[in-house]
Amino acid sequence: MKSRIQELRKKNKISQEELANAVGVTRQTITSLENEKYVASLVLAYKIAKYFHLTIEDVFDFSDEEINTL
Amino acid sequence: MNEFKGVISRRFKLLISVVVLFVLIVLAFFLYGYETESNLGDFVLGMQTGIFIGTLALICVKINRLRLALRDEAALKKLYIEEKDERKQLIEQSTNSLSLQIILLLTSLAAVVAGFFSVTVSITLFAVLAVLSLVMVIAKWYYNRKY
Repeated sequence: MKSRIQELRKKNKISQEELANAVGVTRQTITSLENEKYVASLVLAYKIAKYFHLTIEDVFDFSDEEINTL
Repeated sequence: MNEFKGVISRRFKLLISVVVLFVLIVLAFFLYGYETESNLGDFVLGMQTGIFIGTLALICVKINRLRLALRDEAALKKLYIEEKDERKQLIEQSTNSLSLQIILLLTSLAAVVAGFFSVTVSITLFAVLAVLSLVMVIAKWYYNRKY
């Protein structure tokens, strides 16, 4: 799933390690999210969005065909 | 985090108890176990002692990690994140599930092939297969009720 995590991180000058510590996951999880290899759980998506003071939809892109065809 | 610290503390005490038990077993091997006459007995005893000592070493490494986490808040948080990380949990679940399926398949194959050479080995492998399958069914039943 596409996300704006990397963009938001760079904009706010936050490292992957800092974001990972703040939301309670490992740095590798943030890397996987940024590389679209892993889809965050609802709780993690909420924590990340809250960290950037945004909504989940602002951070994660739900426009994938797979989601919309359900 | 205090709740997690309690969990780590209990785990630490449990592992210390396991180490004490293992040391006693290894000592018993050294004191009473070497009175064997055949070479096969020596081999089996050596293998058992090796497995015990190897497991003991791994537990000691784990104990040291837990000890550090109990003393240092930063290490405790790092351990907490490593244990609760959802991606790691998913990897663990996927690995375990796939491994079990492969083990079941290979054991079935081995049990059939062994039947051509040794009935004892074949029956043993079928017994292993039955126990593995039973454990899998019980685990599936448990998680179906839990979630």
